[in-house]
Amino acid sequence: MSSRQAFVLLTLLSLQSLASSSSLGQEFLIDRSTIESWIFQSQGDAKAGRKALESQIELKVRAIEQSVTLTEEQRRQLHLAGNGDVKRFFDRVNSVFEKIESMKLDQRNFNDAYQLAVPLQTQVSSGLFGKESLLDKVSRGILTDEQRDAWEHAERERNRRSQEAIAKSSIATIGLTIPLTAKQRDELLRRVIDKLNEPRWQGRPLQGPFASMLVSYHLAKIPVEDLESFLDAEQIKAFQLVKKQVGPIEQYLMAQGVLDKEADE
Amino acid sequence: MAFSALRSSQRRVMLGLLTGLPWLGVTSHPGDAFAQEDEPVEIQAPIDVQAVQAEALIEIVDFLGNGPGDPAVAKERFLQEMQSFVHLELGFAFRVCEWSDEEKNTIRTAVNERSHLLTDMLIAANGGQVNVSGDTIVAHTSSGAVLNANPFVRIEELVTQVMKELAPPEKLAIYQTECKLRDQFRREAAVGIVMNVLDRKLSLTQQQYQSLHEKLMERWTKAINISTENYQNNPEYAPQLPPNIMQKELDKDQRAIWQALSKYDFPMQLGAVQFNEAKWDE
Repeated sequence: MSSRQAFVLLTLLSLQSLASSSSLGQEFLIDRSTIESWIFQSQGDAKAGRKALESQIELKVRAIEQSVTLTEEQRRQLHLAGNGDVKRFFDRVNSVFEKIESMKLDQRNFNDAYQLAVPLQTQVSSGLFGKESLLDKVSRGILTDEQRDAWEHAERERNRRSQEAIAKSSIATIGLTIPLTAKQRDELLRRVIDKLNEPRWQGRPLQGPFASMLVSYHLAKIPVEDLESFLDAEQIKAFQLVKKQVGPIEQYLMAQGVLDKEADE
Repeated sequence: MAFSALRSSQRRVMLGLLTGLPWLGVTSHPGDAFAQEDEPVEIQAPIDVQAVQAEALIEIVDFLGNGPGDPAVAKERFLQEMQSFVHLELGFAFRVCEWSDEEKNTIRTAVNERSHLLTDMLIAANGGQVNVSGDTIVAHTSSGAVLNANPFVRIEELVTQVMKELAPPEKLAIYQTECKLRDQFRREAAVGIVMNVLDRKLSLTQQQYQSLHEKLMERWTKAINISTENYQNNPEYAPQLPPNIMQKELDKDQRAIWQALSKYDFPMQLGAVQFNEAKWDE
């Protein structure tokens, strides 16, 4: 058992004794290292967490360099922006420290303290350098047109791979409820990939639930007469039920701006 | 006292307090701090799976408070639940080539007669908690059964065995080829989703992408057991991948990020078969 695991275990066991105690009003303190272990779960503490975030800056820069050659000045600016994101994040960490330290904690509101740390924990897990980050904004600003084209081309290729994997995953999942032969899976896959390759989808790098919903949407939109060319009657009947279920997905995608009814029909 | 030695209800209470999510099953939820490491750590001693299977059914209704369950009833219920998945597999087998009605009947009857063998993978039922590592649990069913094997693979093995005995060799060969292609497709889907997570997190070079993809396809044996949609929808999680592959393929910075990423093998969640009225095996 690592020291971090032992530490979390001790925290859990203290909670167990608190939970079984009749003195509900008993106060207790949470030190910074506990809060750090909540936020930087896998890294354990803020020092290791900072190091991991700094590694991510370098990786993000390298991701760009895989498609374009950066000047020293461009690299410097990207690192500066990334460090700005890290500083901004640690400002929020410090603010959570202060809030939790100012709370009078007992068994009843202990979870409130933990909940303050959860958004930071999520941010660490999902990455600091997404679309809203300084690093991302600066990277788009400092590249020449030629560099931006090359980088965007590489990003498109990455999106294409990603969408293909999501399409395969969705069809494999359908295969767990409708028996499909290899030929039938390939026919479905080809139709979805063709849709995703249409120009209007290429500029939309979709990830997470949106991507799988979009694949489900495209699958459900395959016309019955087309399905009849490679599925049997029982399979088509099952697909019709899938089609019925896609209504809420369609509405959700439209509400999120992923689908545009007029353009996509 | 080891965390894993606590009663399941105690573990749920403690984790519920920490995460704000009540009724957590510690062996199956990413909120479990112990599940974040590269290696599973929950087991304190080697597990005797046979013994666990024998005893697990005794504590099956633990948190429902209904007292010990009847293993025979639990097994019967589980077999009923598996029935529609067996139909699906027979439906697959009957679609890959032409069969006469008589052949279909013979195979269907033999498979149904032997389907009781599937209870070997049942280690708890009715939502009971079993004190085993997350690695041992491969799937949960909608009725709360906990399985230590991939039910789709087990059913395929059952059908294959029956076909070896009863089907013409050329039809068995076609079925086996189709099974291989399906396995390949499932594996590619799982590896593809995980590669998406890795690529976004680690900025893989083209060479790294190809090499990792190839190695995971070859050596990540658990690929078809993972629940891909969980990684699609929660890219902050990654499954536990063979550490020797990751160590070798990633550079220092990437390894630091990989180490920091939350690792968790989401067990398969089997819903009820959506089209259970379909006559797949006719």
